Amino acid sequence: MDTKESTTYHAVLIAAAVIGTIIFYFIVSVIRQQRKHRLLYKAKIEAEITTLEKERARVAADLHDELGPTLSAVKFKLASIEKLNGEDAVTITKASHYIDTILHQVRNIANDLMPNTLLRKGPADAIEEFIDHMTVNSGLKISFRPENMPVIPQSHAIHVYRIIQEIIHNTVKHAGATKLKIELYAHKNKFIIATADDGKGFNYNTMIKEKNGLGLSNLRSRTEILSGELHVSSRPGKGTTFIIEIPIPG
Amino acid sequence: MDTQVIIFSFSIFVGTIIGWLRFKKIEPAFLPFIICLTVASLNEVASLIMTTCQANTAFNNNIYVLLEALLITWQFKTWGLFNRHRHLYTFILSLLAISWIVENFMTHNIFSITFCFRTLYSFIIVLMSIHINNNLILTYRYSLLKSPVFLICTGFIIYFTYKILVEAFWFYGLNVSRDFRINVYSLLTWINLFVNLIYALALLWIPKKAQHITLS
Repeated sequence: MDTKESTTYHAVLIAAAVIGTIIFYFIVSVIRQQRKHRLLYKAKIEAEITTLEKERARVAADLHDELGPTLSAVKFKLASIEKLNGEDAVTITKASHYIDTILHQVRNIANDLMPNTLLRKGPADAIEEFIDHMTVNSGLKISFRPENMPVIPQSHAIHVYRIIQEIIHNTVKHAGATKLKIELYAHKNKFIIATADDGKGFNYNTMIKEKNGLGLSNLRSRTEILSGELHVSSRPGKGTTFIIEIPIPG
Repeated sequence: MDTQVIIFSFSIFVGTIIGWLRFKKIEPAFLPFIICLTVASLNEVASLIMTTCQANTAFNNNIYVLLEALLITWQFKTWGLFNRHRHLYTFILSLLAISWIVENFMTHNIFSITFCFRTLYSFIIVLMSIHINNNLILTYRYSLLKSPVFLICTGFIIYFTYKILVEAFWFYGLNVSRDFRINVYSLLTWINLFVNLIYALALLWIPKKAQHITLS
């Protein structure tokens, strides 16, 4: 290379170094911004869902511990009223029957908000109870297999329960399926929730982009809180499969 | 051929080998990229053989750049870049194919090094990569450094930006000495080595297929 070419070559090298520095700085700043955005997003979702669950638990406890006993007391008082004639007896029996119905509904609502079984016996039993309830009401045939389930903290258990509740609700409401299979098991330090149905399926990406899938967003949010990964496989007419992999806390 | 250039160019084999070793365990969405690395590796072997036989490498390189452009565009399609604009995919493929045909058979010769197509497809790939990375910033919920898509697109941005720069110097540097052109080209070999290692890392980060469940 002559002197002129050598000067030009050095100019090229400087230009390449400048471009390299700009690209490097740009990539580093993008990664840092995304990390901030991700942490803020996770904290926001976690705060929202935790508040929601606490509120549900509070309302469920109020219904179960305060409204329930008060209604039982009303029913007891009603039964102790002196019946002057047959008409009174019929009215009191009817009122007592209404109170029974209200008590039953209060228990159902409280259980929907925060299942007692979940708190007392853990997610597998609570899910089984929910499945029994849904099978009777929807006609969907659900097979549930919890195998060598690891012990998970209560804070995780509620999310696992809600995830499965959401999947069952979605299958009943939208999938038009006749069968749903649910498996829970541990695999290589991960807790796996796997479900498959024979419903009409859907396009996952379209559903997320068009923001039609509120249930799907809930699944994603709860999976993110658990630092897990959600895999959805669905095609129109081919059913839907959900695989959720959650790291088992140390 | 300079030994350093050969060693740096053959670093593409690292990614290719990792890609095929992990292929059955990973999501099939990365197939076009793995095929692209394989084609690049084969092209490096072909170029080495041609150079050893003192034959012209322009022919195989011209075929390779067309395949690379089409495979990378296909890869962007599998990543969902054209989900909302399906006609854009056909348009880009047609544009690439037509410009390659025009340059290699009409304005120039397929046995000579061509520049316009190389600059055009590099530019298109950089734009597509920026678009995918922008989407990932908002939608990816894990560390971007662990996203194979982000790493591959970043590799594309770095490599093809420099490729545009170098092609421009080849284009305007036809009247300068051979040493000048080789020195400018050697810049790209360093970038090539760096980017090939990023591709290898990206292929290692591709998550394994999810657990499987069937109704039966």
